[in-house]
Amino acid sequence: MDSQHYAEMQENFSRLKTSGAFEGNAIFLFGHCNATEELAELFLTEGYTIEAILDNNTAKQGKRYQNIPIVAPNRILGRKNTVICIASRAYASMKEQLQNMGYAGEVYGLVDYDSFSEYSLSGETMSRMGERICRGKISLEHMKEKYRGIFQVYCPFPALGDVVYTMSYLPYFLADREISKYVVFVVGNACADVARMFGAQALEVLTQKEMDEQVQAVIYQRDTDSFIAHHDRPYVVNLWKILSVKKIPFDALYRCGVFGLPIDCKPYAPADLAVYDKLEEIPAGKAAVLSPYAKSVANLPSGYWDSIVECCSRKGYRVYTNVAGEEKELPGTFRLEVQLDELQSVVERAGVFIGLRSGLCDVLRWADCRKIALYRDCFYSSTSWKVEEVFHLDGWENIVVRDAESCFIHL
Amino acid sequence: MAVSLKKSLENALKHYERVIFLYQPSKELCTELRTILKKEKKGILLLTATEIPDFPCDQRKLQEDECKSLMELYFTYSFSNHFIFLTDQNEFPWPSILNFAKAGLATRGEILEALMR
Repeated sequence: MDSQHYAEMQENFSRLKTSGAFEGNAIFLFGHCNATEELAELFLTEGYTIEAILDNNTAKQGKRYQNIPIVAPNRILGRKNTVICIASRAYASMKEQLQNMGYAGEVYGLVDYDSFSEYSLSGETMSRMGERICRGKISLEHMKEKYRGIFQVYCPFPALGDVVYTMSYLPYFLADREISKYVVFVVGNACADVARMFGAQALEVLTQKEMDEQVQAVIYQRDTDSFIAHHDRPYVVNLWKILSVKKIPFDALYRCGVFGLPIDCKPYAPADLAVYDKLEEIPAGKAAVLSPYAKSVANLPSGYWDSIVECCSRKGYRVYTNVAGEEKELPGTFRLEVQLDELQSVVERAGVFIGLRSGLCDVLRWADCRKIALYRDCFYSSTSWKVEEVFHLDGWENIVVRDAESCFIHL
Repeated sequence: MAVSLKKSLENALKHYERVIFLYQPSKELCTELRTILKKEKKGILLLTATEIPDFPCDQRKLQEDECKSLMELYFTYSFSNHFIFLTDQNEFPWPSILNFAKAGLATRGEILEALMR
């Protein structure tokens, strides 16, 4: 979860705690995902007990997270004095499901990931969403003035991987439509850095709120001089639903789904890369860069990274942790803070990159070094496909981590 | 939005598991949808601008102004998880799930099946 959403979740948690919403109630979470794990940690740190995590995915039911059982949602029915907390972008549909099931207790959304959905036709909702459209139309109009006659490409969600895939297939899409001038809209500076690596002609960095409102205006006006380049956002984009009947790799979701390109189309590599200015300080071919942090991916079991650090150090590798902002380096490693466009030069010099599968791995897709992607042994979202099956990277060693004690990496 | 359309939409969303608004479909899409709906066990209401014969589910023909209002509403926000806007027109500024069929990754039947889930 990114820091902005985490702060929002913390604030809502504190507000509910102060209001006494949790007192005397059995606490349930709904939807086992990375955000829910972070929410669970928040509760546990504050001394609360979580009764269970509800999840629709039968493959997850019966398992445990931090010793909290994962159970079917209907297990809450008949229970008195309960609250359900949700930290998921599907909040609106999850709440609706609970109500349709006959659950009458309180349901709290702790983080608003999806401002597009509100499953209500009440006058109040319709009027509020209408006002939102008006704001979106004004900012879209403003951008049209600024980029007169220029095609607008929207990357609606701040995920590095999504921007990598968009930028690597965008040239084909633009060529097909005979578009020569374009501007890319992203959320946050990291996504802007990725777009720059691919030589984006023009860039606009928006807040998530600005992005959502503008994207909604694009939808409302069916503005064909714009394109929303995403696989599952916002609600009009339903490409992810194909995963309920077919296993389609993430790369193909973008190549064939988002951009409508043939399956054999080759992605463009980033062309505007920089070289890290302290490259000589990294032992050539004898260093490992570790990337243990990802905002939208469940963490590995505790202790696994320790075993990787130990394994690398024992083999004589100098070990770095790639960090950003307030992230801490792993014990026994050196802190490495580099710009995204410099990272490829660093890992190629080091020789080894080992990372939790995240958008950063997509950024390093073209790096010429030994690349290892680590995956939690879990299902992707509500699908019946394992995360590794969807996010597998060709040319990488893809390792599914099932046991905290075992590190299968041989250097 | 007209009060009557809003009311009937609210009722439809309560009564049916899926409400599909079929927008300017090609003949091919109608045929494929018929095949999928024959197998579908969910309660489905089909909203269309023109009467399309032989659909194995309840169907309601919308007036022109109702179609316009419904599209305006759907493009303002997502008001239901059970409402499906289905078209094979290629005039929208967002990607179409039917692209997977073009690339040979899934059949159009499989795609429609996925949308019904």
